[in-house]
Amino acid sequence: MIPDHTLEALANGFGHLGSASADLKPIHTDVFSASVDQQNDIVTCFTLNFLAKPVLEKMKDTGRVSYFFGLMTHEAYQYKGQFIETRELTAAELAQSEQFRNGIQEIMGGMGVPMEVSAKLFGRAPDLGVTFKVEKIFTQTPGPAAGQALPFN
Amino acid sequence: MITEEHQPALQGMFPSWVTTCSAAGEPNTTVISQVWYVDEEHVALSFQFFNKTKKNIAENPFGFATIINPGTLQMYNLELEFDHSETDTDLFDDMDMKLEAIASMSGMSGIFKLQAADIYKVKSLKALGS
Repeated sequence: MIPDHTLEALANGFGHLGSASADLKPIHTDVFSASVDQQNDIVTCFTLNFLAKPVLEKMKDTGRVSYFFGLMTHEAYQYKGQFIETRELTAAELAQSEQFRNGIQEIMGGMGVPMEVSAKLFGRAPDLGVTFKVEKIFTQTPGPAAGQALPFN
Repeated sequence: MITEEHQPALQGMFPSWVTTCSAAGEPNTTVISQVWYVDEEHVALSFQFFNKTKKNIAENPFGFATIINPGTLQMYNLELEFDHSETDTDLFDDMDMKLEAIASMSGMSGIFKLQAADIYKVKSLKALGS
């Protein structure tokens, strides 16, 4: 089972979903929060289809997924696993993403980034769920434990 | 390839994202404090503690990075290929000083220790959404 203590960062952290082609060319795309089926170790990342398309082409080819996500506090994790499917996002997932994106825009506002600028990145609702099975989890918080695998299952 | 337009995204105001891939095909995505401008065709990544990235690059030289212009939030994707590492150059010293400053400001002094400046050839640079 995916550890509880990673779920806060999963829902509210900045995330990037990575993959690689068969000829070993890596790629990634932005993620705007993610949902989890904790019992079955399945995660769905909320993405924008027009940005995620090149990643998905490679992901569908090789099946390999990396998902790095982290909070402003530097607490960060990486899930690695196997691509399952793409699907439409549910109303609950869209609401979760909206809450995440509004929170990020507030933080950016506090850093002096005008709302109309941050809206370019975070004002648009994701329109594609990318689902994968988590097989490995790594701590990515900077420090001595960075890169260590977290036991789960 | 890298022009004045891209320079603000290479100042380290916002973190950058880097994905690499092992020889076995397993991707690895991480965040770094800055992608550094070297010249019109090269950038540098700081080799600090992200060992999986370093290991992957030793096996497979290709990387993928995203940088952000802090003024406009325009994002750019860079396809990279590792060229060489530097540890005794002005670039390394500049990176070392700035990373220590970032570490001090974020309460992580002593953790952001620069091991090398890794120089990458920029194979492509594309604005997101273009």
